Amino acid sequence: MKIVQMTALMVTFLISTAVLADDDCTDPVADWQPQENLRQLMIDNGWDVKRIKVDDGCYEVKGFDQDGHRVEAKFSPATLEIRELEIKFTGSGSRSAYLKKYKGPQQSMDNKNAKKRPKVNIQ
Amino acid sequence: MTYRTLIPATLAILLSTMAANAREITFTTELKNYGGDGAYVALYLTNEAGQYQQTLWIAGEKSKYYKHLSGWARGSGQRSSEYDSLTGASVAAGKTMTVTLDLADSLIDSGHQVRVDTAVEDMRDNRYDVVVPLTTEGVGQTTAGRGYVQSFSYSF
Repeated sequence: MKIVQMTALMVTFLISTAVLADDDCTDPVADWQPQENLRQLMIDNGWDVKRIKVDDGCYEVKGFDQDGHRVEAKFSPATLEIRELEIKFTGSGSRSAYLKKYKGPQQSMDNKNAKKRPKVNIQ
Repeated sequence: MTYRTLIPATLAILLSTMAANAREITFTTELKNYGGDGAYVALYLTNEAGQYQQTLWIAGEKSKYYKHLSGWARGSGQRSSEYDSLTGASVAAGKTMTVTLDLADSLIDSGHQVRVDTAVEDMRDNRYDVVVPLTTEGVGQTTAGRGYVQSFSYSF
């Protein structure tokens, strides 16, 4: 009986850790946008992009933001939505100013496109 | 002229030009009973020479199949920026899809063409299933397609 309990406990533990660790991107590769799109998006946003690589199925961008703070961000490769953002403030960095300024590149694009999305009906 | 008359006049002109800049157009595409899976349908604009200009709608959600809409794929380069937020479900055999959107007036009566490409899994692809000029005279006229399209028309 004890073995059954132990096994059940271990299985639960394994499942829960798997769930906890699941912050990867799962976009199908066929839907991925080219890294160049993301690079252009971030350049438009005022970032100085130093490197883009694939990590845990996400695009990981390293570089400097518009104010020269070191940034590291993860994006969904299909939608280019931001998943994770890490900023190292240099000198007089202010978090509130940054958050206000940074609205996320994809969101603003979505709003723009949402307006002109056609009405479609299939009968 | 006093300001009292000038302001409403200016507003009226502004409103009329705004209304004249774009028009709401409805494209109706009816598919034949071709006896296969749901069809991928690309609705797009070309200029007089047949060069790709703009995507209007892509029916079918998996971008890996977009290459089968070959006329559209060649023109658009299948760039996602060309079809972002312009995609939806594929169209089953015998069904009718209506797409309503705003189009700039400059695209009407200026030699632009509406083209439809269709593709169905394990069946042939139809580049230029429908090619019709986008004109005021063409409103309400029904055109038969060469492939899976039974009939195509538009109205504004």
